[in-house]
Amino acid sequence: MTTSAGKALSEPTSVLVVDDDPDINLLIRTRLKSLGFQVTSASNGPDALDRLDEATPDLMLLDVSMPGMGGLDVLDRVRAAEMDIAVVMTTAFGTERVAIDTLRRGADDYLRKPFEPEEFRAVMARTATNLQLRRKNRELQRRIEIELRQAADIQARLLPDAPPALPGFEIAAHCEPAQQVGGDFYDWQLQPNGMLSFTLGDVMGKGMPAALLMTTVRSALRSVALHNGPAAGLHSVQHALFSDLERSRGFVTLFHARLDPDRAEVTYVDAGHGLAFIHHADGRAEGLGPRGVPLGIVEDTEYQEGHFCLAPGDALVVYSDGLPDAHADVRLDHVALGEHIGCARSAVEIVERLTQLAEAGTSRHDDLSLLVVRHTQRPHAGMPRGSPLTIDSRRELTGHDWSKGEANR
Amino acid sequence: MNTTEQTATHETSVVHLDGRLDFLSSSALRDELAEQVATGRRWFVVDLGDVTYVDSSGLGALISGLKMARQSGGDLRIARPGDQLRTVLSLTSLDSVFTTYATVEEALADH
Repeated sequence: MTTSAGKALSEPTSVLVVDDDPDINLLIRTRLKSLGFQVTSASNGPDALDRLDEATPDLMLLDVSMPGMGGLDVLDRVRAAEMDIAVVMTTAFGTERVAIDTLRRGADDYLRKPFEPEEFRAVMARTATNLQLRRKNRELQRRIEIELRQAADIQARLLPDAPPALPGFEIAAHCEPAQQVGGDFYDWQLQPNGMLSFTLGDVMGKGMPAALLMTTVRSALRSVALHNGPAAGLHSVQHALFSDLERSRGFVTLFHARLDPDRAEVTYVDAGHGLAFIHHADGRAEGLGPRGVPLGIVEDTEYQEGHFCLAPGDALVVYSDGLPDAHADVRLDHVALGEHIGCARSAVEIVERLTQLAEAGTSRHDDLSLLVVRHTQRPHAGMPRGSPLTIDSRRELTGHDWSKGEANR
Repeated sequence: MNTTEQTATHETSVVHLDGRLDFLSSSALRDELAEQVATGRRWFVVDLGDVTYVDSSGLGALISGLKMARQSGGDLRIARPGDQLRTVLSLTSLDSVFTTYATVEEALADH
Protein backbone atom coordinates (compact mmCIF):
# COMPACT_ATOMS: atom_id res chain seq x y z
CA MET A 1 0.00 0.00 0.00
CA THR A 2 1.36 3.45 -0.83
CA THR A 3 0.93 6.18 1.65
CA SER A 4 1.40 9.91 1.76
CA ALA A 5 4.77 9.86 3.45
CA GLY A 6 5.02 13.64 3.82
CA LYS A 7 5.31 14.90 7.32
CA ALA A 8 4.53 11.62 8.97
CA LEU A 9 7.84 10.07 8.11
CA SER A 10 10.23 13.03 7.79
CA GLU A 11 11.86 14.59 10.81
CA PRO A 12 10.41 17.89 11.96
CA THR A 13 12.73 20.62 10.64
CA SER A 14 10.91 23.92 10.18
CA VAL A 15 10.42 26.38 13.04
CA LEU A 16 8.56 29.65 13.30
CA VAL A 17 10.03 31.97 15.93
CA VAL A 18 7.54 34.46 17.39
CA ASP A 19 9.02 37.15 19.63
CA ASP A 20 8.49 40.91 19.71
CA ASP A 21 12.06 41.58 20.93
CA PRO A 22 14.21 41.71 17.74
CA ASP A 23 17.40 40.79 19.61
CA ILE A 24 15.94 37.75 21.30
CA ASN A 25 14.20 36.78 18.08
CA LEU A 26 17.57 36.88 16.28
CA LEU A 27 19.28 34.96 19.10
CA ILE A 28 16.71 32.15 18.96
CA ARG A 29 16.93 31.97 15.17
CA THR A 30 20.70 31.74 15.30
CA ARG A 31 20.60 28.91 17.83
CA LEU A 32 17.98 27.00 15.88
CA LYS A 33 19.97 27.35 12.65
CA SER A 34 23.04 25.99 14.39
CA LEU A 35 20.90 23.00 15.45
CA GLY A 36 19.97 22.42 11.81
CA PHE A 37 16.42 23.83 11.74
CA GLN A 38 14.94 25.93 8.92
CA VAL A 39 13.76 29.10 10.55
CA THR A 40 11.18 31.78 9.80
CA SER A 41 10.11 34.53 12.17
CA ALA A 42 7.28 36.81 13.20
CA SER A 43 7.35 39.79 15.54
CA ASN A 44 3.80 39.72 16.93
CA GLY A 45 0.66 37.59 17.23
CA PRO A 46 -1.22 38.64 14.06
CA ASP A 47 2.01 38.40 12.05
CA ALA A 48 2.48 34.87 13.39
CA LEU A 49 -1.06 33.83 12.39
CA ASP A 50 -0.45 35.22 8.88
CA ARG A 51 2.72 33.13 8.60
CA LEU A 52 0.86 30.04 9.80
CA ASP A 53 -1.80 30.66 7.16
CA GLU A 54 0.83 30.61 4.44
CA ALA A 55 2.53 27.40 5.54
CA THR A 56 2.41 25.47 8.79
CA PRO A 57 5.90 24.82 10.12
CA ASP A 58 6.61 21.76 12.24
CA LEU A 59 7.34 23.74 15.38
CA MET A 60 6.79 27.18 16.81
CA LEU A 61 8.67 28.99 19.57
CA LEU A 62 6.08 31.41 20.90
CA ASP A 63 6.65 34.28 23.31
CA VAL A 64 3.98 34.47 26.02
CA SER A 65 4.11 38.26 26.54
CA MET A 66 3.81 40.36 23.45
CA PRO A 67 2.02 43.68 23.00
CA GLY A 68 -1.50 43.29 21.60
CA MET A 69 -2.25 39.66 20.92
CA GLY A 70 -0.24 37.61 23.42
CA GLY A 71 1.30 34.20 22.90
CA LEU A 72 -1.50 32.38 24.74
CA ASP A 73 -4.09 33.90 22.38
CA VAL A 74 -2.06 32.70 19.40
CA LEU A 75 -1.78 29.26 21.04
CA ASP A 76 -5.55 29.10 21.54
CA ARG A 77 -6.17 29.89 17.88
CA VAL A 78 -3.62 27.33 16.72
CA ARG A 79 -5.14 24.61 18.86
CA ALA A 80 -8.70 25.56 17.96
CA ALA A 81 -7.75 25.24 14.27
CA GLU A 82 -6.20 21.82 15.03
CA MET A 83 -2.99 22.75 13.24
CA ASP A 84 -0.39 20.01 13.06
CA ILE A 85 2.31 21.92 14.91
CA ALA A 86 4.25 21.57 18.16
CA VAL A 87 4.38 24.75 20.24
CA VAL A 88 7.06 25.66 22.77
CA MET A 89 6.17 28.72 24.85
CA THR A 90 8.91 31.12 25.90
CA THR A 91 8.80 33.76 28.61
CA ALA A 92 11.04 35.94 30.71
CA PHE A 93 8.60 36.02 33.60
CA GLY A 94 8.30 32.35 34.16
CA THR A 95 6.40 31.12 37.14
CA GLU A 96 5.19 27.58 37.66
CA ARG A 97 1.63 28.76 37.28
CA VAL A 98 2.31 30.28 33.84
CA ALA A 99 4.05 27.07 32.77
CA ILE A 100 1.14 24.88 33.85
CA ASP A 101 -1.34 27.22 32.20
CA THR A 102 0.46 27.05 28.85
CA LEU A 103 0.65 23.25 28.93
CA ARG A 104 -3.01 23.01 29.85
CA ARG A 105 -3.89 25.18 26.88
CA GLY A 106 -2.12 22.87 24.51
CA ALA A 107 1.55 23.89 24.49
CA ASP A 108 4.00 21.03 24.08
CA ASP A 109 6.73 22.48 26.24
CA TYR A 110 7.98 25.57 27.94
CA LEU A 111 11.29 27.48 27.95
CA ARG A 112 12.33 30.18 30.39
CA LYS A 113 14.49 33.12 29.29
CA PRO A 114 17.39 33.47 29.37
CA PHE A 115 17.87 30.11 27.67
CA GLU A 116 20.42 27.63 28.91
CA PRO A 117 21.97 26.24 25.69
CA GLU A 118 21.70 22.65 26.90
CA GLU A 119 18.12 23.00 28.05
CA PHE A 120 17.23 24.75 24.81
CA ARG A 121 18.69 21.91 22.77
CA ALA A 122 17.03 19.26 24.94
CA VAL A 123 13.59 20.86 24.77
CA MET A 124 13.79 21.27 20.99
CA ALA A 125 14.94 17.69 20.50
CA ARG A 126 12.25 16.30 22.80
CA THR A 127 9.51 18.35 21.18
CA ALA A 128 10.60 17.32 17.69
CA THR A 129 10.69 13.64 18.68
CA ASN A 130 7.26 13.79 20.32
CA LEU A 131 5.81 15.51 17.28
CA GLN A 132 7.21 12.84 15.00
CA LEU A 133 5.81 10.06 17.19
CA ARG A 134 2.44 11.74 17.30
CA ARG A 135 2.39 12.00 13.51
CA LYS A 136 3.39 8.37 13.08
CA ASN A 137 0.68 7.30 15.51
CA ARG A 138 -1.89 9.35 13.70
CA GLU A 139 -0.85 7.89 10.37
CA LEU A 140 -1.03 4.34 11.73
CA GLN A 141 -4.38 5.04 13.32
CA ARG A 142 -5.65 6.44 10.05
CA ARG A 143 -4.48 3.41 8.11
CA ILE A 144 -6.04 1.00 10.59
CA GLU A 145 -9.30 2.92 10.45
CA ILE A 146 -9.34 2.88 6.66
CA GLU A 147 -8.58 -0.83 6.59
CA LEU A 148 -11.25 -1.60 9.16
CA ARG A 149 -13.79 0.50 7.29
CA GLN A 150 -13.01 -1.33 4.07
CA ALA A 151 -13.15 -4.67 5.88
CA ALA A 152 -16.52 -3.75 7.41
CA ASP A 153 -17.79 -2.74 3.99
CA ILE A 154 -16.67 -6.03 2.45
CA GLN A 155 -18.17 -8.02 5.30
CA ALA A 156 -21.49 -6.23 4.97
CA ARG A 157 -21.51 -7.06 1.27
CA LEU A 158 -20.93 -10.73 2.05
CA LEU A 159 -24.41 -10.88 3.54
CA PRO A 160 -26.89 -12.09 0.94
CA ASP A 161 -29.17 -9.82 -1.04
CA ALA A 162 -32.89 -9.74 -0.44
CA PRO A 163 -34.18 -13.28 0.08
CA PRO A 164 -35.76 -15.03 -2.87
CA ALA A 165 -39.54 -14.80 -3.06
CA LEU A 166 -40.87 -18.11 -1.81
CA PRO A 167 -44.64 -18.40 -2.06
CA GLY A 168 -46.09 -18.67 1.42
CA PHE A 169 -42.87 -17.83 3.24
CA GLU A 170 -41.08 -14.73 4.31
CA ILE A 171 -37.52 -14.44 5.46
CA ALA A 172 -35.87 -11.62 7.35
CA ALA A 173 -32.47 -11.26 8.95
CA HIS A 174 -30.21 -8.83 10.72
CA CYS A 175 -26.48 -8.87 11.46
CA GLU A 176 -24.57 -6.27 13.39
CA PRO A 177 -20.98 -6.67 14.60
CA ALA A 178 -20.12 -5.33 18.06
CA GLN A 179 -17.00 -3.78 16.58
CA GLN A 180 -16.52 -2.74 12.96
CA VAL A 181 -16.24 -6.34 11.81
CA GLY A 182 -17.30 -9.51 13.57
CA GLY A 183 -17.71 -13.27 13.56
CA ASP A 184 -21.46 -13.53 13.00
CA PHE A 185 -23.05 -14.10 9.65
CA TYR A 186 -26.16 -15.37 7.95
CA ASP A 187 -26.60 -16.58 4.44
CA TRP A 188 -29.18 -18.08 2.12
CA GLN A 189 -29.21 -19.58 -1.35
CA LEU A 190 -32.02 -20.88 -3.48
CA GLN A 191 -31.13 -24.40 -4.57
CA PRO A 192 -31.83 -25.53 -8.14
CA ASN A 193 -34.52 -27.87 -6.77
CA GLY A 194 -36.47 -24.88 -5.44
CA MET A 195 -35.51 -25.39 -1.82
CA LEU A 196 -33.97 -22.63 0.25
CA SER A 197 -30.72 -23.31 2.01
CA PHE A 198 -30.05 -20.93 4.91
CA THR A 199 -27.50 -20.57 7.67
CA LEU A 200 -26.69 -18.55 10.75
CA GLY A 201 -23.16 -18.83 12.08
CA ASP A 202 -21.19 -17.44 14.98
CA VAL A 203 -17.40 -17.66 15.03
CA MET A 204 -15.84 -17.59 18.48
CA GLY A 205 -14.53 -14.22 19.55
CA LYS A 206 -15.08 -10.92 17.86
CA GLY A 207 -13.37 -8.27 15.78
CA MET A 208 -10.88 -8.97 13.00
CA PRO A 209 -9.76 -12.48 14.07
CA ALA A 210 -13.37 -13.69 14.14
CA ALA A 211 -14.10 -11.92 10.85
CA LEU A 212 -11.26 -13.72 9.08
CA LEU A 213 -12.61 -17.12 10.12
CA MET A 214 -16.17 -16.05 9.41
CA THR A 215 -15.41 -15.37 5.74
CA THR A 216 -13.66 -18.74 5.48
CA VAL A 217 -16.57 -20.65 6.99
CA ARG A 218 -19.12 -18.77 4.93
CA SER A 219 -17.27 -19.48 1.67
CA ALA A 220 -16.80 -23.16 2.43
CA LEU A 221 -20.45 -23.55 3.33
CA ARG A 222 -21.63 -21.54 0.35
CA SER A 223 -19.76 -23.77 -2.05
CA VAL A 224 -21.47 -26.93 -0.81
CA ALA A 225 -24.87 -25.67 0.33
CA LEU A 226 -26.20 -25.18 -3.18
CA HIS A 227 -26.28 -28.89 -4.02
CA ASN A 228 -26.27 -30.65 -0.64
CA GLY A 229 -28.64 -31.32 2.19
CA PRO A 230 -27.79 -29.78 5.57
CA ALA A 231 -25.90 -32.72 7.11
CA ALA A 232 -23.98 -33.55 3.94
CA GLY A 233 -23.04 -29.88 3.53
CA LEU A 234 -21.93 -29.51 7.12
CA HIS A 235 -19.85 -32.67 6.99
CA SER A 236 -18.06 -31.38 3.87
CA VAL A 237 -17.33 -28.09 5.59
CA GLN A 238 -16.12 -29.85 8.70
CA HIS A 239 -13.83 -32.02 6.63
CA ALA A 240 -12.47 -29.02 4.73
CA LEU A 241 -12.01 -26.69 7.67
CA PHE A 242 -11.26 -28.80 10.73
CA SER A 243 -7.49 -28.42 10.56
CA ASP A 244 -7.78 -24.69 9.82
CA LEU A 245 -10.01 -24.17 12.82
CA GLU A 246 -7.80 -26.36 14.97
CA ARG A 247 -4.64 -24.49 14.04
CA SER A 248 -6.23 -21.10 14.54
CA ARG A 249 -7.75 -22.31 17.82
CA GLY A 250 -11.13 -21.17 16.62
CA PHE A 251 -14.52 -22.76 16.57
CA VAL A 252 -17.82 -21.85 15.06
CA THR A 253 -21.40 -22.63 15.92
CA LEU A 254 -23.73 -23.08 12.97
CA PHE A 255 -27.42 -23.52 12.41
CA HIS A 256 -27.61 -24.76 8.84
CA ALA A 257 -30.95 -25.67 7.34
CA ARG A 258 -33.01 -26.21 4.24
CA LEU A 259 -36.61 -25.24 3.70
CA ASP A 260 -38.78 -27.27 1.38
CA PRO A 261 -41.48 -24.68 0.61
CA ASP A 262 -43.84 -27.20 -0.97
CA ARG A 263 -44.00 -29.29 2.19
CA ALA A 264 -43.32 -26.40 4.59
CA GLU A 265 -40.65 -28.64 6.02
CA VAL A 266 -37.36 -27.53 7.51
CA THR A 267 -34.43 -29.95 7.72
CA TYR A 268 -31.53 -28.71 9.80
CA VAL A 269 -28.29 -29.46 11.55
CA ASP A 270 -27.24 -27.63 14.68
CA ALA A 271 -23.50 -27.55 15.29
CA GLY A 272 -23.36 -26.32 18.88
CA HIS A 273 -25.53 -23.33 18.13
CA GLY A 274 -28.59 -24.11 20.20
CA LEU A 275 -30.08 -20.67 19.83
CA ALA A 276 -33.05 -21.53 17.64
CA PHE A 277 -36.70 -22.20 18.30
CA ILE A 278 -40.08 -22.35 16.64
CA HIS A 279 -42.39 -19.50 17.55
CA HIS A 280 -45.78 -21.07 17.00
CA ALA A 281 -48.73 -19.06 15.79
CA ASP A 282 -50.35 -19.42 19.23
CA GLY A 283 -47.27 -17.92 20.94
CA ARG A 284 -45.81 -21.20 22.15
CA ALA A 285 -41.99 -21.51 21.93
CA GLU A 286 -40.60 -24.89 20.98
CA GLY A 287 -36.90 -25.66 21.28
CA LEU A 288 -35.10 -27.80 18.75
CA GLY A 289 -32.93 -30.90 18.86
CA PRO A 290 -30.73 -32.78 18.10
CA ARG A 291 -27.55 -30.78 18.43
CA GLY A 292 -23.88 -31.55 17.96
CA VAL A 293 -20.75 -29.78 19.12
CA PRO A 294 -19.45 -26.64 17.40
CA LEU A 295 -17.30 -27.03 14.30
CA GLY A 296 -13.58 -27.22 15.04
CA ILE A 297 -13.69 -29.11 18.31
CA VAL A 298 -14.09 -32.83 17.69
CA GLU A 299 -12.87 -34.20 14.39
CA ASP A 300 -15.28 -36.39 12.41
CA THR A 301 -18.31 -35.49 14.48
CA GLU A 302 -21.46 -37.01 13.03
CA TYR A 303 -24.16 -34.37 12.90
CA GLN A 304 -27.76 -35.56 13.03
CA GLU A 305 -30.42 -33.87 10.97
CA GLY A 306 -33.61 -32.69 12.59
CA HIS A 307 -36.91 -32.03 10.82
CA PHE A 308 -40.05 -30.08 11.52
CA CYS A 309 -42.91 -28.53 9.62
CA LEU A 310 -43.86 -24.91 9.91
CA ALA A 311 -47.60 -24.51 10.23
CA PRO A 312 -49.18 -21.30 8.92
CA GLY A 313 -48.24 -18.47 11.27
CA ASP A 314 -45.27 -20.39 12.69
CA ALA A 315 -41.81 -18.85 12.55
CA LEU A 316 -38.37 -20.36 12.93
CA VAL A 317 -36.22 -17.93 14.92
CA VAL A 318 -32.44 -18.35 14.89
CA TYR A 319 -30.16 -15.90 16.69
CA SER A 320 -26.67 -15.45 18.10
CA ASP A 321 -25.62 -15.03 21.73
CA GLY A 322 -25.37 -11.28 21.22
CA LEU A 323 -29.11 -11.24 21.95
CA PRO A 324 -29.27 -13.02 25.33
CA ASP A 325 -25.89 -11.64 26.40
CA ALA A 326 -27.11 -8.07 25.92
CA HIS A 327 -29.21 -8.60 29.04
CA ALA A 328 -26.78 -9.96 31.60
CA ASP A 329 -29.32 -9.59 34.40
CA VAL A 330 -32.21 -11.49 32.83
CA ARG A 331 -32.37 -15.01 31.51
CA LEU A 332 -33.61 -14.72 27.95
CA ASP A 333 -34.59 -18.25 27.05
CA HIS A 334 -36.89 -19.26 24.23
CA VAL A 335 -40.00 -18.74 26.29
CA ALA A 336 -38.93 -15.23 27.27
CA LEU A 337 -38.00 -14.39 23.68
CA GLY A 338 -41.31 -15.79 22.49
CA GLU A 339 -43.10 -13.40 24.83
CA HIS A 340 -41.14 -10.49 23.37
CA ILE A 341 -42.09 -11.55 19.87
CA GLY A 342 -45.70 -11.70 21.02
CA CYS A 343 -48.09 -11.46 18.13
CA ALA A 344 -45.66 -9.96 15.63
CA ARG A 345 -47.29 -10.29 12.23
CA SER A 346 -44.29 -10.74 9.96
CA ALA A 347 -40.72 -12.02 9.86
CA VAL A 348 -39.49 -8.45 9.57
CA GLU A 349 -41.46 -7.46 12.65
CA ILE A 350 -40.02 -10.37 14.63
CA VAL A 351 -36.49 -9.37 13.65
CA GLU A 352 -37.24 -5.76 14.56
CA ARG A 353 -38.64 -6.65 17.97
CA LEU A 354 -35.68 -8.85 18.83
CA THR A 355 -33.16 -6.29 17.56
CA GLN A 356 -34.81 -3.65 19.72
CA LEU A 357 -34.68 -6.02 22.66
CA ALA A 358 -30.93 -6.48 22.16
CA GLU A 359 -30.40 -2.74 21.72
CA ALA A 360 -32.22 -2.06 24.97
CA GLY A 361 -29.72 -4.29 26.76
CA THR A 362 -27.19 -2.88 29.16
CA SER A 363 -24.22 -5.02 28.19
CA ARG A 364 -23.83 -5.02 24.44
CA HIS A 365 -20.41 -6.52 23.79
CA ASP A 366 -21.07 -9.27 21.31
CA ASP A 367 -21.98 -9.51 17.65
CA LEU A 368 -25.69 -9.82 17.05
CA SER A 369 -27.41 -11.74 14.30
CA LEU A 370 -30.96 -12.91 13.71
CA LEU A 371 -32.65 -14.96 11.04
CA VAL A 372 -36.38 -15.60 10.86
CA VAL A 373 -38.26 -17.85 8.42
CA ARG A 374 -42.01 -17.53 8.74
CA HIS A 375 -44.86 -19.40 7.15
CA THR A 376 -47.31 -16.68 6.17
CA GLN A 377 -50.28 -18.73 5.12
CA ARG A 378 -53.25 -18.43 7.41
CA PRO A 379 -54.60 -21.70 8.79
CA HIS A 380 -57.03 -23.25 6.41
CA ALA A 381 -60.18 -24.77 7.79
CA GLY A 382 -59.76 -28.47 8.20
CA MET A 383 -56.07 -28.43 7.61
CA PRO A 384 -54.23 -29.97 10.52
CA ARG A 385 -51.53 -27.80 12.10
CA GLY A 386 -48.00 -28.55 11.12
CA SER A 387 -48.83 -31.08 8.45
CA PRO A 388 -47.24 -30.80 5.05
CA LEU A 389 -49.48 -29.07 2.58
CA THR A 390 -50.73 -31.30 -0.17
CA ILE A 391 -51.02 -30.22 -3.76
CA ASP A 392 -54.77 -30.03 -3.35
CA SER A 393 -54.73 -27.75 -0.40
CA ARG A 394 -52.30 -25.50 -2.24
CA ARG A 395 -54.63 -25.24 -5.14
CA GLU A 396 -57.50 -24.36 -2.86
CA LEU A 397 -55.44 -21.65 -1.27
CA THR A 398 -54.33 -20.07 -4.52
CA GLY A 399 -57.36 -17.85 -4.49
CA HIS A 400 -56.12 -16.23 -1.30
CA ASP A 401 -52.54 -15.11 -1.27
CA TRP A 402 -50.53 -18.26 -1.71
CA SER A 403 -48.80 -17.09 -4.86
CA LYS A 404 -47.98 -13.72 -3.41
CA GLY A 405 -44.31 -13.68 -2.49
CA GLU A 406 -43.92 -12.08 0.87
CA ALA A 407 -40.20 -12.28 1.16
CA ASN A 408 -38.73 -9.40 2.98
CA ARG A 409 -35.29 -8.13 3.46
CA MET B 1 -9.98 -11.56 36.27
CA ASN B 2 -7.61 -13.12 38.77
CA THR B 3 -6.03 -16.49 38.37
CA THR B 4 -4.65 -18.27 41.33
CA GLU B 5 -2.99 -21.54 40.76
CA GLN B 6 -2.74 -24.13 43.42
CA THR B 7 -0.76 -27.21 42.64
CA ALA B 8 -2.13 -30.43 43.96
CA THR B 9 0.61 -32.78 42.74
CA HIS B 10 3.43 -32.38 40.27
CA GLU B 11 1.13 -33.44 37.43
CA THR B 12 -2.06 -31.85 38.68
CA SER B 13 -3.07 -28.24 38.89
CA VAL B 14 -6.08 -26.42 40.23
CA VAL B 15 -6.70 -23.10 38.54
CA HIS B 16 -9.06 -20.81 40.35
CA LEU B 17 -10.63 -17.98 38.39
CA ASP B 18 -12.92 -15.15 39.31
CA GLY B 19 -14.73 -12.31 37.58
CA ARG B 20 -15.52 -12.62 33.89
CA LEU B 21 -13.89 -15.13 31.59
CA ASP B 22 -14.23 -13.16 28.39
CA PHE B 23 -12.44 -11.77 25.38
CA LEU B 24 -9.92 -9.93 27.56
CA SER B 25 -9.17 -12.53 30.22
CA SER B 26 -9.34 -15.71 28.15
CA SER B 27 -5.95 -15.33 26.46
CA ALA B 28 -4.33 -15.07 29.91
CA LEU B 29 -5.97 -18.37 30.88
CA ARG B 30 -4.88 -20.00 27.64
CA ASP B 31 -1.28 -18.86 28.17
CA GLU B 32 -1.33 -20.01 31.78
CA LEU B 33 -2.56 -23.49 30.84
CA ALA B 34 -0.07 -23.76 27.96
CA GLU B 35 2.76 -22.85 30.29
CA GLN B 36 1.71 -25.46 32.81
CA VAL B 37 1.39 -28.17 30.16
CA ALA B 38 4.89 -27.22 29.02
CA THR B 39 6.21 -27.82 32.55
CA GLY B 40 4.69 -31.31 32.70
CA ARG B 41 1.25 -30.81 34.24
CA ARG B 42 -1.59 -32.60 32.51
CA TRP B 43 -4.48 -32.90 34.98
CA PHE B 44 -6.31 -29.64 35.36
CA VAL B 45 -9.23 -28.61 37.46
CA VAL B 46 -10.52 -25.18 36.52
CA ASP B 47 -12.54 -23.82 39.40
CA LEU B 48 -15.18 -21.49 37.97
CA GLY B 49 -17.22 -21.09 41.15
CA ASP B 50 -16.41 -17.38 41.37
CA VAL B 51 -16.70 -16.68 37.66
CA THR B 52 -19.82 -14.70 36.85
CA TYR B 53 -19.78 -14.93 33.06
CA VAL B 54 -18.09 -17.00 30.36
CA ASP B 55 -18.31 -15.84 26.76
CA SER B 56 -17.33 -17.71 23.61
CA SER B 57 -13.69 -16.63 23.87
CA GLY B 58 -13.68 -18.02 27.40
CA LEU B 59 -15.10 -21.29 26.10
CA GLY B 60 -12.36 -21.23 23.47
CA ALA B 61 -9.68 -20.97 26.16
CA LEU B 62 -11.21 -23.89 28.08
CA ILE B 63 -11.36 -25.97 24.89
CA SER B 64 -7.71 -25.13 24.10
CA GLY B 65 -6.76 -26.20 27.60
CA LEU B 66 -8.77 -29.39 27.26
CA LYS B 67 -7.06 -30.26 23.97
CA MET B 68 -3.60 -29.56 25.37
CA ALA B 69 -4.30 -31.62 28.47
CA ARG B 70 -5.69 -34.57 26.53
CA GLN B 71 -2.79 -34.49 24.06
CA SER B 72 -0.51 -34.92 27.07
CA GLY B 73 -2.58 -37.85 28.27
CA GLY B 74 -4.41 -35.85 30.92
CA ASP B 75 -7.71 -33.99 31.15
CA LEU B 76 -9.27 -30.69 32.06
CA ARG B 77 -12.26 -30.73 34.39
CA ILE B 78 -14.56 -27.89 35.23
CA ALA B 79 -15.46 -27.48 38.87
CA ARG B 80 -18.36 -25.43 40.20
CA PRO B 81 -19.78 -24.14 36.89
CA GLY B 82 -22.32 -21.33 37.28
CA ASP B 83 -25.82 -21.31 35.78
CA GLN B 84 -24.77 -19.20 32.81
CA LEU B 85 -21.94 -21.57 31.91
CA ARG B 86 -24.18 -24.62 32.38
CA THR B 87 -26.67 -23.12 29.93
CA VAL B 88 -23.93 -22.34 27.41
CA LEU B 89 -22.41 -25.83 27.72
CA SER B 90 -25.82 -27.36 27.18
CA LEU B 91 -26.77 -25.16 24.20
CA THR B 92 -23.46 -25.77 22.47
CA SER B 93 -23.52 -29.51 23.33
CA LEU B 94 -20.11 -29.00 24.89
CA ASP B 95 -21.43 -30.75 27.99
CA SER B 96 -20.62 -33.87 25.98
CA VAL B 97 -16.97 -32.78 25.82
CA PHE B 98 -16.35 -31.36 29.28
CA THR B 99 -16.86 -33.19 32.53
CA THR B 100 -18.16 -30.88 35.25
CA TYR B 101 -18.05 -31.38 39.01
CA ALA B 102 -19.85 -29.80 41.92
CA THR B 103 -16.64 -29.35 43.93
CA VAL B 104 -12.91 -29.12 43.31
CA GLU B 105 -12.38 -32.15 45.55
CA GLU B 106 -14.69 -34.33 43.47
CA ALA B 107 -12.95 -33.24 40.30
CA LEU B 108 -9.57 -34.11 41.81
CA ALA B 109 -10.77 -37.44 43.17
CA ASP B 110 -12.16 -38.68 39.85
CA HIS B 111 -9.01 -39.94 38.15
